[in-house]
Amino acid sequence: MKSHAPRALRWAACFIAFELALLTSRAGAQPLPPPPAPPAYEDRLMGGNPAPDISLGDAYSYDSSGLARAIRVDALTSLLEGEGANPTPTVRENGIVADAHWETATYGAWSAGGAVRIGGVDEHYIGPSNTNLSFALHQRAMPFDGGWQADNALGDLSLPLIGLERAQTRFLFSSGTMLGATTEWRGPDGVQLIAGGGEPGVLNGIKVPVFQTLGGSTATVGGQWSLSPQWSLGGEYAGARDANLYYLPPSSSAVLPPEISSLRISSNTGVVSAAWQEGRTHAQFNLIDGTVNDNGNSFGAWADGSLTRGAYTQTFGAFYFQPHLAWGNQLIMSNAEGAYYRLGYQTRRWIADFGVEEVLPVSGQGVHSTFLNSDARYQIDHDTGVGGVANLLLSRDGGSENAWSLEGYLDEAHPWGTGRVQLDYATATQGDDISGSLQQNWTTPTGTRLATSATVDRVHAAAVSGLPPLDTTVVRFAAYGGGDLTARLSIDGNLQWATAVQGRAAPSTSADVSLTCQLARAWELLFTFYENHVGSWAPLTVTSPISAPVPVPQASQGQRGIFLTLRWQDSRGGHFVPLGGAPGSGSGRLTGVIYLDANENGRYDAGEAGAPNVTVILDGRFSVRTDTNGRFDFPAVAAGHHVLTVQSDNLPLPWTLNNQGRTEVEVGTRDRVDVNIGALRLK
Amino acid sequence: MRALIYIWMIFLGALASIDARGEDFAAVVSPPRFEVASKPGATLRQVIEVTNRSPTPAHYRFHTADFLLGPDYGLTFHDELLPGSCRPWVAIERSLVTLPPGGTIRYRFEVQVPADAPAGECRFAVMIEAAEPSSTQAGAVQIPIVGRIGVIVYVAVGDAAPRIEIFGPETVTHNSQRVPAVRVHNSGTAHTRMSGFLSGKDAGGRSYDFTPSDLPILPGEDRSVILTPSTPDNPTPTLTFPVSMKGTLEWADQKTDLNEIFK
Repeated sequence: MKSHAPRALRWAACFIAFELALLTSRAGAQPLPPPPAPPAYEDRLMGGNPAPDISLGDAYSYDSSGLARAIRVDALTSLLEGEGANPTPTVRENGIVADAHWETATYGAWSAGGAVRIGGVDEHYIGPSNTNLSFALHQRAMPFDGGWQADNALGDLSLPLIGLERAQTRFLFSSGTMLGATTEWRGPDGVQLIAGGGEPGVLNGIKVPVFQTLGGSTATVGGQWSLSPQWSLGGEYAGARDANLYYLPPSSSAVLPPEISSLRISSNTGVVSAAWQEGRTHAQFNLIDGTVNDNGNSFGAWADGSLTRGAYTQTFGAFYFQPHLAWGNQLIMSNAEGAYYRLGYQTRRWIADFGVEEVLPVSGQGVHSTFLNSDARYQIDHDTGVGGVANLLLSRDGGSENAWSLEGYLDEAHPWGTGRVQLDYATATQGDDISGSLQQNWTTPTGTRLATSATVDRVHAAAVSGLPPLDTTVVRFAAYGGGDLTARLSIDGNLQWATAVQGRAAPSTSADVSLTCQLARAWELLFTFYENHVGSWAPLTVTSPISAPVPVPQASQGQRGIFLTLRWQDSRGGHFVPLGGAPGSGSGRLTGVIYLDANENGRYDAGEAGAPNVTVILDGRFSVRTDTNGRFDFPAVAAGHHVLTVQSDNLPLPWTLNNQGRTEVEVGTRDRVDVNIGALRLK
Repeated sequence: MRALIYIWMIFLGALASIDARGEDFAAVVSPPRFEVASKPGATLRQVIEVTNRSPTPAHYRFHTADFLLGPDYGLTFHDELLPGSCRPWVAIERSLVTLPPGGTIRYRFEVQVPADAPAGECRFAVMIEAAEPSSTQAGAVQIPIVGRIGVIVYVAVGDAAPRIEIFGPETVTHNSQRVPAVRVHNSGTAHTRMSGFLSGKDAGGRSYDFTPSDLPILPGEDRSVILTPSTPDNPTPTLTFPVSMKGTLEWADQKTDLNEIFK
């Protein structure tokens, strides 16, 4: 042995020498390798205290297992105090608001939310039925075979609307809130079916919404479908039985006639709509018919259209509504007929819009007005733009309500941000108002924001009807800003101050400050304080086609509020996507066994062995391996047609599969399909 | 033997943790670039907001880099100092940052301009990279990938300003379409971007708006500024030459009229 070791060492030395010689000769024959890359630069670090790394020392890790789920619980306390000669009542409110969301693999997405008022004195919100909680349970997009999906809900909800009524461009259906249940089904060919019903009510509260029912009942049922790619047709019925038309706090009975404050209605209303769309051209025709209490039948019809060609967009329509129309327990547009037309023009440099609308009462009693509106903005260059707005309201009932307004502005971008100079003038029968303002959005460091404005407003109007008009000049300053003070603390604030420098108007000040503090990973504290003293004139603006503006002096009063919220929130899991499908599509389970078909009868019989560790492929894309018993499992497969194939490499000899064990299966929503694939002996 | 088993287990554990941490790189960075000014002898401080949008904690590595803009505006980043680099003026807050899911950090950096710095432009990038590579499957091969975002910083020092000379009309091929362009040269000391409002007609009599490319033109560079046509109905029309065009071209605080025929 001793003699062998030196020989081995000598062989090793020779081998190393040979390799070195080879390398040296190669180096001599080849060009020299490129010089080493220059050393990477070492960055200089800032001195002082760096911003805290918000994750240092935090052992948090997101639990991504399972399906997505989240919960949020807020514990709130609020205090609202009135100030001044005739203050509003003090309101205190304590409560808990919670909501949770969770996805399921085969039953769609679910959410539940609720609020309970657990303390405080509530002197302001007292309804016919005084409850201290609200709740709602929603299930959305539950898939069914044939392309159907369903939404269902229970609790404090809004009456559902079919898509054609939700998409109204000119007249909106106000669907009131109720304690009840709703269902909506969507299927192929644009089919949508909806139904819902319950007891009408209102949500009350400052930060803790509680639901108060108003008595009576309301219900709706409707449906729509697409007759062709261009045409959709739908209809819906809404009714109310002995339901309160309005929700009125008791204090309002002092200022409203008793017949209004106690009004309860029963209504039956149906609407039919047909819509046509091709490219950028759209038209919708609607008929409505119904009764309210004993007022007899009322009828309405309206049509809206839009047409876009090049830079021009035209929208137009006509409407006719007889008096006394309601939707459930909500009043809708009644006693009006007219038409409107708008023309819009938009290029890189111009945005312009002109509109005219004529409204008159069907019954002959009411407002007959023409409203013209135009606005335009022109971009002079990259940094500068100018624009203006003009409104004109012409009333035909004696001519006492005519009003018009003009606005002009100049926008300028500069290194400090974006500024605007604006002049406004508005005049109505009871007064006029001219104002000039400077507004500036300041360029600030990332994560912070600051905007300021200064306005001089001169009002010429009578404080009380019948008295001679007075001239008043009010100066207003406002600022809004905020930012992150630290990685865990952010602040936002809004300040306004106004005072009369000439004439009579009470000073106005308001401020609100919000602080958000991240206490820990799932815990947050939100604090808001506001104080508001209103005392100056409200500026005149002409914006409504129905009624002229009236200068309103604000009574000198104030309010102070404090809101404190302790929030806990958590989320886990990931969004569900079934194999071979889109998120939210229906899915089923596909399981089976790869077995050795010993008796070759094509069935998996007792005593026949499974083939372990064999790869099963779904649709050529997704693969699993069989377990020790030959079983495989695809827990969530999109509903529909699928193809299974098997890689036979791991099958024990002499077993094999014909055509890679190709098996076609149909998986239904929430279905479980069991597939057995038998291997045969090689022959 | 037991010690070997422990070492092996620790090794496997370390592998598993690296894999988990490198799963996602989903960072939202604001602002996408800085175009700021400073003076010799002054220190400029700025903040980048980085938010982790992945469902897992993210580990980021921050560092600076020099960058070059290719003829096709392709960016190449260089960790080593390029000639004339101003990165020695730059200091960053820290090199490694860990953010929980949804977490945001206001990451600071500063540029200390030397008192004797001449008028000019300091350009660099703040790179935000996944601290560990993730991997993607290409057939049977796992390919390690590193997500990264570069925030470009332009600091105009002193009286640095662009000076643009325009050398008349030309046509270039862009995205397989022949489009009008103007050749420009920046003989100034700071970069700029072109803008403006141009309109014109092609040989078929159709009217178009033309938008100048707003990609940066660095000092000393010659660039073709593409004038992209559009109509309200068609954002990518095909032009028939010759094209007549007029309007204004703007850059920095300057502008010039353009009234040309592109053949």
